[in-house]
Amino acid sequence: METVAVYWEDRIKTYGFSETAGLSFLQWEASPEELSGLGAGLEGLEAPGTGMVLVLGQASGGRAVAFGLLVEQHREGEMLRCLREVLSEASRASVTGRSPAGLIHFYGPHFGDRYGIADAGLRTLHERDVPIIAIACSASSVYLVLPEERMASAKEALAEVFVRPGD
Amino acid sequence: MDRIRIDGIKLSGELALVRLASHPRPQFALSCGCGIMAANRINMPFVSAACVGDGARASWCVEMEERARAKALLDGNPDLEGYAEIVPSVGLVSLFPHRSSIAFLGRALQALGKAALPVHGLTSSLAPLTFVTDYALLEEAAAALEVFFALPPHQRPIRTHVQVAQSPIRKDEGPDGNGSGPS
Repeated sequence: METVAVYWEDRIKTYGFSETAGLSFLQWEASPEELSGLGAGLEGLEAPGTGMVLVLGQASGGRAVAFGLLVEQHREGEMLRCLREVLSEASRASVTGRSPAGLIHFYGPHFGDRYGIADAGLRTLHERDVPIIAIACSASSVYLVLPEERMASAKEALAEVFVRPGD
Repeated sequence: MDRIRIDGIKLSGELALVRLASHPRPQFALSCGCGIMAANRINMPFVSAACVGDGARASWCVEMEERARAKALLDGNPDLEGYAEIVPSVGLVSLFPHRSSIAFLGRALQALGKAALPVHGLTSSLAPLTFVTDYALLEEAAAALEVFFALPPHQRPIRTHVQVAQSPIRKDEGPDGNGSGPS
């Protein structure tokens, strides 16, 4: 069954908009054969109240998955040590941490079903020369990972194309 | 091993995955690719991209029927020519809620890794943790996840049958020109 929705918005309406600072973006690569061991290592890292903020990943043609994990900055050292312990020697060299990072998250009506949402955000940031570290969009949410010091300029740029609740 | 209780597993319809890798300017390439998709009214129900470091890569999903058009449009752009690759016939398996738990992520990776299922991409969202795998293996992926996660009694993984599409009609083309809402 298909439903057709029509949106005529000068600025795109959002239902929620939030930002978080003081984060660290960890990156590493893992081969398909390492996923199970990596998962077991990550499972042992759980500490109450200190979970993941965001995870994303992309596989290459060679099938190795490049992971990005956003955690609170104070956990960076512990997480990097764990990742280096559980990954193979070949993958270990790929482990890096980038901090301080910030996250901007917003969601809105039918975002997962509408073309142009990711483009609207990326285009305005590109036009303002605001660098992004990563982006993830699924369901109705858009997550933008940025250098923490660029969050203010990113918010300003995004306000040109997205309406925050209460604006 | 106690299985982690979850509220559900959702399986998508058939999609295609677009990959952009090894571009010297990852953010520019991603922005350019997304601009091309938007200009041609191609929806991206899943986007996952890192624009820094050696692992800088971008991938996104499009509807299966849009895969050839998406590839042609990307290859036709001089800045992206040769960087786009299409993985046909993928699907999304989402389990929820992840409760921002690293252990939850760890369990899911163990499940898919032990079953030797391909992981083409992943992202977390407000509640779901979503993986991209081969469309033909979606049921197998759900079964592998159920080894580590417990659905509520009598509940099975659900397939989405409702699809929402954004109309290409613009405001100045509308029947009454007053911007009346969704139809």
